Amino acid sequence: MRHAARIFLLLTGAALLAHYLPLGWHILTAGRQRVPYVYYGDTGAGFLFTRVEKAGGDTRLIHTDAAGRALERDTFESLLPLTFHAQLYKTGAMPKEIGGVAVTPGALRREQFNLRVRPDQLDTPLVPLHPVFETDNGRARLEIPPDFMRINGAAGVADAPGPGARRRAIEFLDPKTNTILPEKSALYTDAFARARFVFPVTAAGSNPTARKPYDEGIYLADAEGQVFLLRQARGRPGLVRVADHAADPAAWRALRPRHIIVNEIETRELRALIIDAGGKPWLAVGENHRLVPLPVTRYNPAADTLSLRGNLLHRLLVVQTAAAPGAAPALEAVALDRDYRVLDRHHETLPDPAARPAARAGRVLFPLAWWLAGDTSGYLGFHARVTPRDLLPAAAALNALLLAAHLLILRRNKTLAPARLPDLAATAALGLCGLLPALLLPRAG
Amino acid sequence: MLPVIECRHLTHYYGDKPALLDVSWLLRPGRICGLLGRNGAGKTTTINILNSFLTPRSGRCLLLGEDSHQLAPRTKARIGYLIEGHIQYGFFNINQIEHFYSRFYPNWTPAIYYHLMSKLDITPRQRIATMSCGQRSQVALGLILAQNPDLIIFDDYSMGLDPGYRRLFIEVIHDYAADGKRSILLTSHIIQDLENLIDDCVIYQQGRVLLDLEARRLRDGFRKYTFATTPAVAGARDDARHLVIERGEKRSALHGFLDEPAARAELAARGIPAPDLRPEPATLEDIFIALTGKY
Amino acid sequence: MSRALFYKEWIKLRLWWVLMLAAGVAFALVLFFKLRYVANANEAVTVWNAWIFKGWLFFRPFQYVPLVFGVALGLLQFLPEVQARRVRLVLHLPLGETRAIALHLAAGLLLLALALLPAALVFSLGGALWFPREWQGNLFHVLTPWLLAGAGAYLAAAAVLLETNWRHRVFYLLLAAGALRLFLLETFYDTCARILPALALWVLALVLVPLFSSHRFRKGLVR
Repeated sequence: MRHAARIFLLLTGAALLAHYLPLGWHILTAGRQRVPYVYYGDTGAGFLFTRVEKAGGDTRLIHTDAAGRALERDTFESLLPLTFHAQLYKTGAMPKEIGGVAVTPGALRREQFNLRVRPDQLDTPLVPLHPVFETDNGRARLEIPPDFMRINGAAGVADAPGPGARRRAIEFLDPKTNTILPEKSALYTDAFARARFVFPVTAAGSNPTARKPYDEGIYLADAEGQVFLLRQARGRPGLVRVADHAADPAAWRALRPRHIIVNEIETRELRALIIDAGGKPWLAVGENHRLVPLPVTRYNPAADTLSLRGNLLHRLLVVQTAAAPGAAPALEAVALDRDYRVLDRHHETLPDPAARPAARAGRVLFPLAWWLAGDTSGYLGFHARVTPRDLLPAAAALNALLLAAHLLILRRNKTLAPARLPDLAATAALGLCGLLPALLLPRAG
Repeated sequence: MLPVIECRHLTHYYGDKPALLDVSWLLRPGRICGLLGRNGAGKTTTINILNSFLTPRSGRCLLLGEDSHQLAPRTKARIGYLIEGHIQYGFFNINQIEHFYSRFYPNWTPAIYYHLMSKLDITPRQRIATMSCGQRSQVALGLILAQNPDLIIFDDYSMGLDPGYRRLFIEVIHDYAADGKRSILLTSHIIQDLENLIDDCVIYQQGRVLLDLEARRLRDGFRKYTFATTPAVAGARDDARHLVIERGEKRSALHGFLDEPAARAELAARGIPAPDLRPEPATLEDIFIALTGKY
Repeated sequence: MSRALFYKEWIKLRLWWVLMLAAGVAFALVLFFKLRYVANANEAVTVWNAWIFKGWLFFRPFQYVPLVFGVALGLLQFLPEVQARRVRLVLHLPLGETRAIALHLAAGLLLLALALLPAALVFSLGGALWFPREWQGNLFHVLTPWLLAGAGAYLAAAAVLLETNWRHRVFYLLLAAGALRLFLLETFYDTCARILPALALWVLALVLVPLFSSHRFRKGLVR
């Protein structure tokens, strides 16, 4: 028992130090992550950037073009009228038309959108209850639905249509009474059965807020990967298979969606952003759900951030890729026209925070570091990193030094014995995180 | 017959300070042994080793034939232990505590316990924490006796007790051990109480056993002689022969296992004139102080 | 003999346990009545939206109660035992020492669970009045790490008290604080779902530490 207890204490102490010490080190030594903000010039200036530059202890913003030339703020803003329209209207420098397209404040506002997908949005705890908006309520604004949809359907469960007492594939819950609405549930279950939706649902996407210009509906991918769109009109469900009504049904049928993100914009152009099982992003565009593959070269939904910004003239796709073994963090920007044809590309590697001297020193000092909360998931989980290969010799040397010190201390205290083997192993493997608890632990006797 | 307690070459240090140096003694069945010694002589260390709260640097301690550090629960049930200060659970009342302990000992005899409790002036629901020191000592004693142990270790039974309770304690122990089937080890600083109680006497001095003898032989054999103090008188101590010469203001004393002629010869050998040498009665306490010194 | 030890701990702790139980249930009821007020003062769908999209859970103020109860119970149970080194009484009883202390820990954990379970029941039943079964899953995933933190705090308190060396006491306190903090991170309902088994296993293994402390006490290993 006592040896098990001591090893438990040793492992706990080492684990806690491997969690807190690297965290403390990071807090003490972390610099500011300087990711440039990318724009695409409306008047043909190409890519433009706002960068954070360190100048003698101070940080300041500088504006550059793709060639790296610094621009004055006013010049910079005049190259991006669709972004800085407020300032330009104030100074009276706003053009009335750009590239043959008339520019009015109303059109500007309507066409502006910003869609962002972060890894922790894709893997986050959710309550699987969906509000189904009424698309045709005869009112100017959307109203919060009075009930919630629950999807019970599972593989192999053949739900017969019609009202009954058994659990339905689709249930509607009434918050007022905290009960199931039998008729509405039966209605929707029938609709799903008629549409030949194969349960279970493999992906779902909607925008559950009333603060949007209209309701797109809920996209649902069934067990065979087929995408359906569910809408409610005058209380009645409308479930259609997107492939049946799309411009390119073959593409839709071949799609295996993993994540579906819906973000309604006033022009109704963006239907959904879909990330397939391979991590490839697609955009469903326009009335007939044209499937546009987003032309990024490297995107890992579990680690990278993707953003799609649009205005009157262009679409700008920006992917910030996180550092990976063998690849530094990078920024990729793709400028597209309104039909999603590629106009221009930009790629730059970002400074790797892990390459800074302080960060590398931390990797040597703490061969193992772990944490629970990261920006790649909304769930707490065990994430760890170990010393990279190129720093292994340095880490090994440090650990050897600490091991020697450990042995000396044990010799001096006359406590060097075979029972100390776990302690020494902890120091050899984890360095400081093993040595400290080993020295502070009580003896087993 | 197997001794109930056997200490074999116990040695222990606290850091570098010696506490026990090659201590060996034993307690035979049916005997009452007094473990005596000044403060810091090593009694508490020995008791802690006996109860396996301390692991000696070297040496072994056997209780009822088993190593004190690996006592089987069955054997533990045969040993009673009074903790110094009569420590017990203060949140119990006398009925609850009897109910608790009775579950652990197969030979539990509640009558013994309740007989002792009837002598106390307490209400049945009174918690032990609210009792006086003397009442608590009786509760602790009653619980041990009800256990019917073969061996009892009393670690300083007299601490905090007034003369009345001390006397009660001694009488109860005396009656209890009268059948000769119980073995008892006692430590105490109140030596006069032990005068007619103990069968054996082990005296510690600075971590070593100074004397290990039957109490009767000690009382009968160890004599005190006084004589007038003269300039020739010098204090002397011979631990090997248990001989002590004390120089007093007016009268000096010679202590030792000596009859009168031997005493005279001893003084003559040391060149100390003692024409008025006379024997004086010595209590166990006198003997103890003589052997272990006043300072 | 196990029953006798449970009896002893019960007599020692019963008054405090009743107070804890009452305090826990009272707090839970206060939160329940606040929920009732919120549910009545607002549209039901608004309340559900606050739950589903903002992670609002009416029992969140209860977060630190299990931890506090765990520490309190550990103190109330073991402080009397270590004062005047009274634990010698237990170690002298005719049963294995590890078993004796383990039974004390079992009694303490049982009392802790019984003191907190009624509050959990109030939350569950109260929540069931206004929320669907998905909410119960959220309750489980959010409440369980707090309960585990309470058990962990109890075992850490026992280990700290049974340990005789001050330096090691401080070490245990730091370990406990560092570890239990990870049980009480802000959660958005099921956030802890993936690490819950690991947390539970760690608390289970933590039982070894107070046993270790009492073993060291027995051997007189003060250094």
